[in-house]
Formats: sequence, structure tokens, C-alpha cells
Amino acid sequence: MLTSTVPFLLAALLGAAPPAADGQLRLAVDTYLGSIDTPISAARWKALGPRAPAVLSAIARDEGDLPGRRATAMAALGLVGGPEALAAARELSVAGAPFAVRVEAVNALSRLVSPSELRAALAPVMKGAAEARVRAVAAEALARHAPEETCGAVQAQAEAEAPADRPRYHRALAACARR
Amino acid sequence: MSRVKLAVTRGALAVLLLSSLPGCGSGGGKGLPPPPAPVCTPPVPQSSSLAEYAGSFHQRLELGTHKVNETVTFPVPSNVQSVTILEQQANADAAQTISLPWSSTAPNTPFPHSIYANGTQIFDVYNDAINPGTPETLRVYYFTTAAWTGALTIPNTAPMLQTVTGSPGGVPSGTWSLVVSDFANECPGIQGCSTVYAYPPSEYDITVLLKEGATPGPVSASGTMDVALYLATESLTASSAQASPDVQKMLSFYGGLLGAAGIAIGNVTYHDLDATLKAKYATINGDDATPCGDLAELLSHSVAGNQMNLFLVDAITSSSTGSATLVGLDGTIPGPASLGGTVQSGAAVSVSSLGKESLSGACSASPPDYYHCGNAEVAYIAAHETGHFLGLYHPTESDGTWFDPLAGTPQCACSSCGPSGAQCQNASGSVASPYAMTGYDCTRSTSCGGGDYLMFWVISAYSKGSLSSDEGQVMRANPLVQ
Repeated sequence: MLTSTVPFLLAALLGAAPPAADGQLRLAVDTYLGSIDTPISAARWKALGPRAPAVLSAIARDEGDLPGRRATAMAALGLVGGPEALAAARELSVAGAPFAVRVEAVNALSRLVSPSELRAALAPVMKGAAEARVRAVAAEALARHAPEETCGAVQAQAEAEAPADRPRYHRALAACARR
Repeated sequence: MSRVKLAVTRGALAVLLLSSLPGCGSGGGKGLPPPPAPVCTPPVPQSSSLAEYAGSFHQRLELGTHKVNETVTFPVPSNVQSVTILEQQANADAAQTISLPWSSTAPNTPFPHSIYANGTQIFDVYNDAINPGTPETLRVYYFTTAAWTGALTIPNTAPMLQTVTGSPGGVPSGTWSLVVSDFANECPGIQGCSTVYAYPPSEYDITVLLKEGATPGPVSASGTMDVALYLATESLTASSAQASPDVQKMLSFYGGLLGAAGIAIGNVTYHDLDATLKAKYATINGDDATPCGDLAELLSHSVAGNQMNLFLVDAITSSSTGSATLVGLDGTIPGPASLGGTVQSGAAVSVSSLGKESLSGACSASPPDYYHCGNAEVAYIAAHETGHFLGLYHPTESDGTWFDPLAGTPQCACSSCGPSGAQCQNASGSVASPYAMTGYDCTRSTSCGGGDYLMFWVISAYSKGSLSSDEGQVMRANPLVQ
């Protein structure tokens, strides 16, 4: 009895909620999202089970949460997959989300959408996003994951950019060069 | 630091230990095809800036360029608090990566094969470069991967800290020697390792920094560290950062965290990257740990000087399928103090949460709320990466089976601190998704601690930025702290 009570008392003293049985998932998600410089493997994210995407999706969409945490949740959704992940990625890849979140939404799309469908999903972002840095992120995702012939469009977009923005495409163009 | 890199190192060095073959490779790779042209040309060896500090008790020993397997000797007087060995690749054609059976590539990391202090061996790569398990006996520890440039500061273990603080005090004096090596050189002794191509042997520029006291004795109880902020982020410039209340508040939190180790922030300088570099590296990809990766390229733009170089970026992403975004990334543990312009000269920190708070009033809280206040969180990440640069490892790694080499830092073992039924990682590392230790698990009791520590692998509601006395000594032993 004592051993099971002490942790909860300590947690209360620390001002943080103890992990109730149904809070274990939330605790694990919070822990993974709090990783500073340790990558969390896809296997670890997936092992959180079928309820994880809903928890992650809520965090990624939560405009009151810190952008870094939201971005990490979005990146995790790209690894766990599923309809909720795809919906969040589509929603957050468009204007309105903080840049870090948007970057991860675009990257998540490249994992969640089949290569053949990726061009349709991200070409509008590459060509139409207001921010050059977002266009470049979409270009990189296309360069890495879309069919090789997409590299022509990536190169054309890089050349269409203002000279000051072309360096943003260095990773995209390098990825195309490796294909 | 990138834990992907660390995981690779663990595997590599574990096999090194298990292998019966000595590390006697020449790096020549007989029978292998000639190497292709390198992807990039990393920086040439840089000069240490340590001697530019007037009135300090330091020596900078420039020991020249040496091929792997060569022995380098240097004198250590009796009043030395710490010895730092800096190794910089001087052969532009040397291997940048090696190929391992359990990972596609790993950076070709420089490290001493062995170190002797006055005839007594204090480091052996086969025995002292994996998780110690018994920090009571480990005299020197090295456990990181860092292509092209490496560093090692002694003391960094509990026994050596005891030596330094004991009588007569200081690190062992006399003639020290080390054998130059790296992963490519040790590759023939690693089961399944290959350099893929017949690279020429590495050659390293060796510099040794001796941090001295007026008399033999322990590491100074306090010190000052300069900081350089590089504005790779597109949301700030050098001038706007200086005027930004959020940046200044972040620096205040950062100073408070390092103050727990007796380290005061000295001069803070602000550096704009040119427009092209900002465009390229405001968002960096953290996957590539080679000297041609984003982080290496970014860090190589640090200026000369003995300061902590923090590169503020908008995001750190991952394009691999096995990880997710990060908020901090450092080059190596420890970083090459006093060397600017190398591929390991600093750390990158995401500022995506700067100026935000997820709980009303969190940024006014006392003690600081590192979990809900963005300025405090960014400071925490910066301080954590600074801790790595100064030589600290995570007290407990994510799986609760690997620990730092310091006796005075709490441990949190999965087997005893994880919840009932937790699937802990096993000795062979074969559990694909082992239980990850939480801040809650590691603040439960005196025997399950470290979850509130600055160097815990997670920032959480339990984070306080705590540092042990041992950790403080390791940080202050670094020549970055004056």
C-alpha cells in the first residue's frame, strides 16, 4: 500500500498529475513529445496503440499548445499513420499553422500519401504557399518521396523562385540529384 | 546530441568490446575499391582560441598532425584541473563514414585508442568507451560519435573527479601519452564493419588544453562562460534578438540553469548568418551526422573564440522513417571547446516555441515553468545542449538501461523504476520498442531519480533543471568555463 501511494503523493507535491491507469497513454505521449534530442523510433510510436493518433492529433491541432510540441506531435502522426493522421496533416499543411507545425505536416503527408498521390497533395503547396520556406519544404518532400519524374517540377520551381530564395531548395535538388 | 548517433556508437563499441581482435587496422582497406570524391570538403583544422584569455592559468599544447596508431606524448604539470584533447581531421581524403552491419553508416569518429598518465593506463577504447555500469572504477569515459572533429575532457568520471578533488589534487601529473585512432582505424576489429572503400589513413591535428589552478586542487567552484548566438532563424536578426524581450528572458532562464553549476554567463554576442545561409539552414535536417550534413555545415560557420556557440533555428526535422522531429542537437560530447569553425563547434536549438506559453501565466511562474513557458523551454533545451557540449551525458537514457559515468547523479533503471509490466530493453538490445523512462518514473523516490535533472532525456512537467555536484564539476572542468 505504501509503495503504491508514495509515488502519487510525490507527484502531487510536484504539481503534476499521477498517471492513472487510463493516463498511461497520455504519459507516454507526453514523454515522447518531451524528448529533447533523442529520436523516438517509429516502432515506439506505433507501439502506443490505436488510441495514440487521436491523442496526437488533438495536440497537433491545439492552438494553445507550444508550437514545438505541436510540431513533434504532427511528426509522430506521420509515423503512426491512419485516417486521423492524414486528416491532421492535410489540415495543418495549409496556411494558418505555425511554421514548425506546417513543416511537419508537409513531411507527414509525404509519409502518409502514396508516392503516386503525393504530387497532387503537395504540388499546390510547393507552387502556392505564400512563404518561400514552406514551398521549399514541400519541394523537398516531393523530391524525396514522389516519383522521380516529379523532380522536373521541383527544379522548375527552384528556378522560378527569386534568387534569394533558391538556396532553400538545396536539399530538394540534392535529393533529386541522388535519384 | 543526436541519440541516433549514440545508439550507433553503443552498438559499435559493444561489438568492439566483444571482438577478440585488437584495433590494429591501418585504414588502408586492402582489397577495397578506391573511394569516390567526397560529398563535401569539411573545414581544415582550426586553431584554439584559449590562449587569447589573458591572465588565466592555461596551456595550449599544439602537438601537430599525427596519423592513426601514432603515439603522442605531452607533459602535465602538477596543478592541472583538467586535460582536454582536441582531434581534428587533417586528411581531406580520409573516410567520413564507416559502414556497420546494424546501421547503414556511422560517422568516422576520432578518439584515442588508449591514454596513459605517467605510465598508468587510464583509458582503453575496448573497456572504457561503452556504458560503464560500474562508474566506481571507470577513470575516463568516451561515448559519442562525431565525424571529423572530436574532443575529450578529463575528468569526466566519478573516480577521476575523486582524484582531482583528493590529495594532492588535480589530474595525475607527469608524462601523458595517447594513441591516435578513429572508427575507420578500428574497423578491422569490429565484426561486420567496413569502410566500403580503400580510404587513406586518417591524420589528426592534436591540440591539448591544460586548465590549471594556482595550486593542485579540485576544479574551481565557479566560472564564467561566454555565449555566441547565431541567428539562423528567419524570425530574428542579431539586432532584433538583442531587443527582443523573449530572447532576453530566454537568456535569463538559461543563465539561471547554468548558475546551478556555478557557471555565470559572461559576454553574449549575436551573429547574423548571411541571407543564403539563413535560407539554407533556418530549417535543418537532423538525420545526416556526417561532416557534410546540415548540422555540421551550420556549426562550421561559428566564429573563432572560446564561447558556447548556439545556433537558433526555426525547426529541426527528420526525413528518415524511424524518428521524429527534435528540438535540440549538438555535435559531440564534449564539444571542441575553444575551436570555432569546425563541424562540431556548437549546438542547434529550435526556437519554434519562443514567445509562447501553453498555460496562462506560465512565463511569470517561480520557479520557472519549463514545460508550459516557451522562453523557459527554449532556455532549457539550450542549457541541455550546453551540458552535452561541456561533457555531460544523459543520467539515464530513454530505455533505462544506460547511465552516465558519474556516481553522484541519480539513476533510473527500467527494471526497478519502470511500471509493473514494462517491457524493458534487454542486454542484446533486441526489443524494438522498449519502455521509455518518464519524468514521473524517475522522480518517484531516491532510488529512482534524475527525472527532474537538466540532462534527463525528456523535458516534462517534472523538469527542474537539477544538476548533481559531479555534473557541475565536469561542466566547470571544461576549458569553455573560465
